[in-house]
Amino acid sequence: MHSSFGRMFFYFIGGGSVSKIQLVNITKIFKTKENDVHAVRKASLHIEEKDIFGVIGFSGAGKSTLIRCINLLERPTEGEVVIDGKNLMDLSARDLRAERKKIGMIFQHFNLMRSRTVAQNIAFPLKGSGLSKEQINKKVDELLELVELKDKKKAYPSQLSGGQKQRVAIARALANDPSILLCDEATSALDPQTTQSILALLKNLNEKLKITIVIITHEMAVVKAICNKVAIMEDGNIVEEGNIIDIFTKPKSEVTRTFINTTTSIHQIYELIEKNDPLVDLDVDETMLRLVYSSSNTKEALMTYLVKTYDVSFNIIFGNVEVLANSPLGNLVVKLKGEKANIESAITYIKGQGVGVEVLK
Amino acid sequence: MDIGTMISNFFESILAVIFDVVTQFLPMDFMNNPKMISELVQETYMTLKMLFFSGIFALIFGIIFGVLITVTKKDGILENKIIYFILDKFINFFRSIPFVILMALLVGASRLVMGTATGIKGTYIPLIFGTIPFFARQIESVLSEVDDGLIEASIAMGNTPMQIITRVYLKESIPGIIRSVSITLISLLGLTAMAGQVGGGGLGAFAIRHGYARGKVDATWSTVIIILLIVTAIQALGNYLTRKTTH
Repeated sequence: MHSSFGRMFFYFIGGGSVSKIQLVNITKIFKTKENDVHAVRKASLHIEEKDIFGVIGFSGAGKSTLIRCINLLERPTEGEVVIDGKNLMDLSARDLRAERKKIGMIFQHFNLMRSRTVAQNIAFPLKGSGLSKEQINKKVDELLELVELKDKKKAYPSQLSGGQKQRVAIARALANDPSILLCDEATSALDPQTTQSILALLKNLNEKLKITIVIITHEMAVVKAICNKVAIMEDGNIVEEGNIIDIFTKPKSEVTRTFINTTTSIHQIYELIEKNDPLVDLDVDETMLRLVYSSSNTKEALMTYLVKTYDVSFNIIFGNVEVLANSPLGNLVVKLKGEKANIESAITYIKGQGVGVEVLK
Repeated sequence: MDIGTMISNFFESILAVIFDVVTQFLPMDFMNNPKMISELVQETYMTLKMLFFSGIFALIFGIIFGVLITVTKKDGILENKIIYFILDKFINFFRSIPFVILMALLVGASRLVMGTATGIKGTYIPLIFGTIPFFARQIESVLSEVDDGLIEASIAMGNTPMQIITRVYLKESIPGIIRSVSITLISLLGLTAMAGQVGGGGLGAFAIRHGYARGKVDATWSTVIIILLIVTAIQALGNYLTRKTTH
């Protein structure tokens, strides 16, 4: 009673943002004979309505355990799981089952029932929901249309491709009109092309149905493709969390940088530097910089201004622009040539413009 | 002579040779007696009756025990150390006792439940107890093949443990369960032959009475052929249903 009042209070002073899922100090310890395994350590997450929230980490980082805590497939050893203001940990088994019906979930290996057709798989969660046979049939047709799989209604899962199986799983997860969809490595068993089509579908669902999506993955490309927020996990801890643009432009931790580097070719420049490649050879009066800029600071003619004001010249070694959560993110590696003092004041100016600067050499 | 007639003549002569050899070793004079034929029919009926009635109960309880031991196992959906321990030991205990001894052991139980420990009525309790553990273990192994992911998905969808048992564990294992049923019925058929020992009759008793005690080889062979037919029928039906339900 007391704690739920407290949450109401926080809800009101929280202002603006509607918290859909709140994980508070989640700790999960698996006891084995030899030792205790801390899969998740005091992790807190705050996911808002209509977010597509990514949780990324290497295998064993605890991300799968964390997502399973959201619908209590794993019961946290400590902590609170609050969904729509309700702490799931306090619920009876019956009430928990009712809440779980409002949370859809899809899996890496699809988990479809082999003995049932596509239509029967999708209708599986609807049995006992009070809907008549005709209503269920109508709902199944709607869902099949939504996932673009109408012609496979009577097929068995064994007759489907991986991507089609995941579409059926998505339709099944949506059968009860959930407000949350949990995706546990949902694209990890799929080829890159199919992954993109499934991600496009998820994004579409997020927009059409206003559904909140939580995605667990080890691929930064997945996060980059559809998430608006991301949390990075390592060794059971959430090491970094935030808006995807901020994470990509100003990564704070080493592991975040590693993940970002997997999705851009920018890291190749580091290998070249390591190998002392002629491409990255510098003259005495040259400095090599990596600039990271996003939509808020891409309007100014930065380089032209530098050349004019600080009497430096530049040579672009590498450049690319990506679109993240509907806004561009640019990466540029340049050689700046000029007097040392001029170069330093140029760098200070760039920093002042909110562009990320890293002196590479 | 055309080629067709030649082939049929060839096979006819081979069959004639086989028939000669068989009748030399196996004189059919005993089983030519109509009285014996009707006795054989009667005993076949007894065997089928034992198979049917003890089969039904053994299958029902075997499935219940098999499911219980699966769900109460460690990390099962209704994990329960005590129930699991008791069931596990119960099944192991009855599995380790040879059937002939089991019949002696269950005389009391049989009198209590069936009112007698002899005749066909006296065979049911030992047959059921002899079959349940075997079938329960088969069911356990079939259910363990159900992908954990399916159980997890089903929990995530808000299903009750009972729904998970019926709609996932049992429904998804139907082909495997059918296979275990046919294996179990065939092994139960073997037990019914021994159950003749307590006066239950059946093909086993017939083979002992005439084939073994009186040296009538053709009586023994007759039972062999009938048993073979029953086994084949069970197996064919089992295979057919397994194929039908596998997707």
